[in-house]
Amino acid sequence: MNTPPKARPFLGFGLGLRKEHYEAILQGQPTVDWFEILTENYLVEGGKPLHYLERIRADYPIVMHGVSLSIGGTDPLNFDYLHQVKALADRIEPVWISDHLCWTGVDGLNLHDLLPLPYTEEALDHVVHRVGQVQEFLGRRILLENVSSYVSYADSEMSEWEFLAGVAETADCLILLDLNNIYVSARNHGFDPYDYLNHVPEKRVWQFHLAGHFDRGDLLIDTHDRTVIDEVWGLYEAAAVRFGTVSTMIERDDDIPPLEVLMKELNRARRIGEQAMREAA
Amino acid sequence: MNRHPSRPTSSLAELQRRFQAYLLNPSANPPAAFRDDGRASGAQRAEVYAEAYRLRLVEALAADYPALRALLGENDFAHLGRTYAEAHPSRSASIRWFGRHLGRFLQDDSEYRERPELAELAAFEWALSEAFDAAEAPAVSPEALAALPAARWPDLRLRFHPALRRVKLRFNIPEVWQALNQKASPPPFEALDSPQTWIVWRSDLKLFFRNLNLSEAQAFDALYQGLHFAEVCEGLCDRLPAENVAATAAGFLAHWLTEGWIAAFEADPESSATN
Repeated sequence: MNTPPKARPFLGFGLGLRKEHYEAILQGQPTVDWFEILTENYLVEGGKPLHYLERIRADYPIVMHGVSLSIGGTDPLNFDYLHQVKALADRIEPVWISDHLCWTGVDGLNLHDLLPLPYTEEALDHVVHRVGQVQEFLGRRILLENVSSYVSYADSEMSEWEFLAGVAETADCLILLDLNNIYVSARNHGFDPYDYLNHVPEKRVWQFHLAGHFDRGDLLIDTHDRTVIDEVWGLYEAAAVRFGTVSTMIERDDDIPPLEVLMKELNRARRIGEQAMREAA
Repeated sequence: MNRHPSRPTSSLAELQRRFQAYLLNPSANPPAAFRDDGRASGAQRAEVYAEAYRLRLVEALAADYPALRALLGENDFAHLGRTYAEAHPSRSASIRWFGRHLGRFLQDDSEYRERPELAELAAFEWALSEAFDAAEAPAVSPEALAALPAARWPDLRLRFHPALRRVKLRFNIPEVWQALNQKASPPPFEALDSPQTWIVWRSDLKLFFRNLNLSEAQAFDALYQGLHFAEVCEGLCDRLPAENVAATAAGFLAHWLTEGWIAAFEADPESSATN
């Protein structure tokens, strides 16, 4: 098994690995610095998914990004799932493993959604305890991502960024900061996305996500089916100045364009990111 | 695993139960736990999750059952998906397995059971999806079995490839599936005189399927259950002249070997290993 890095590695500029691009990646060897996989897509026993993953892994660094940890859920942690995640990690040696700061179901059900938590002391204690269990089991620190949300709870006792910072500092875990999700939640709940950015603990952020969303008028919906908007690019630039060399990637999950189209968008991230990270240094 | 075992029904757990109960039952009122503001009410906000929940599951089902989706059309398939999701909410970490009960659901549900061809099409598509990402295993080469001494053939037993699936069909499902898969208009469903055995398998990452004639199906079923070659031949005697039985059965095996269906064999008279 590989040794998890202790200091923040900078992987450069990456993309989410999608099956639509498998052949283009293997044939073209595009200048994507790294890929992020959706962990659950590869928790299978064989066939094309693992075949392509292993071939692409031979040429590119990979990180694993899960959606089913339910770190804030109130069912016991699913150790069957964690065993599978660990087995996949042993096989492909990802640079890191991430999931979301959310819950996904209760009483044995999986709603396959990233549901927001109430930002309470009770929830904070609960998540911190479970992060400890997960990190002990996996033998490494995990990254947790801030999710987009459409509801906020009357019970919340603190801001989302205070909650995120509290979890990361107390549980000694890392942060995958999704700038589109900050923007979407800021608009949906009426806070300033730059307030959020300025309160995230600097040393904890190891990865940025960029993505597109849908504006339905009253609320923004996190769809990952279109390009990153200018306001999110602006937020990314500010984040790169504040946090420095943080591995950056674009997530596209629907209406997936050809690889070369995503590469153009990734090059925009590279231009903005490299410039801002130089300023930070 | 809660940090507070003395408080198993924490307010967090209670909140999650109420939120989940609302998502599972679209006609229920959303819990009063959500804030309203000038942009949207708590109820409008909760509805985003309720809609997305069903949409996501229907999409996942469409990925596993593309031909059924093409046959039923978008609206009827979405209706099926929502009905199915109510009966079988997901209990798996991966959405990959959400659709695994659809064939059985179509067979049993009062709305669909009068159309048994739908359950069969679903079973066939699920077999394809299982063959797609089941475990890899090296196939036994024809030469390896040819080297088995004649005296040990009666004790021969097989283990089939982990990505092989057997489906029994009473309708012309593969023909309909082929048309739908090529986005052509499908032929009408036709009931067969007797059920056919179809094998779905994977070779070099590609999926294949073919049907077996009655003798081949009988031999396959027996070996699939873990019976010995001698027992297979005995069974075939009802169907074939006794002097042809061993050669015919060996011919089936030779064919299966070239198709990569066999992952292992053993011919130890003492062994009681099972598949």
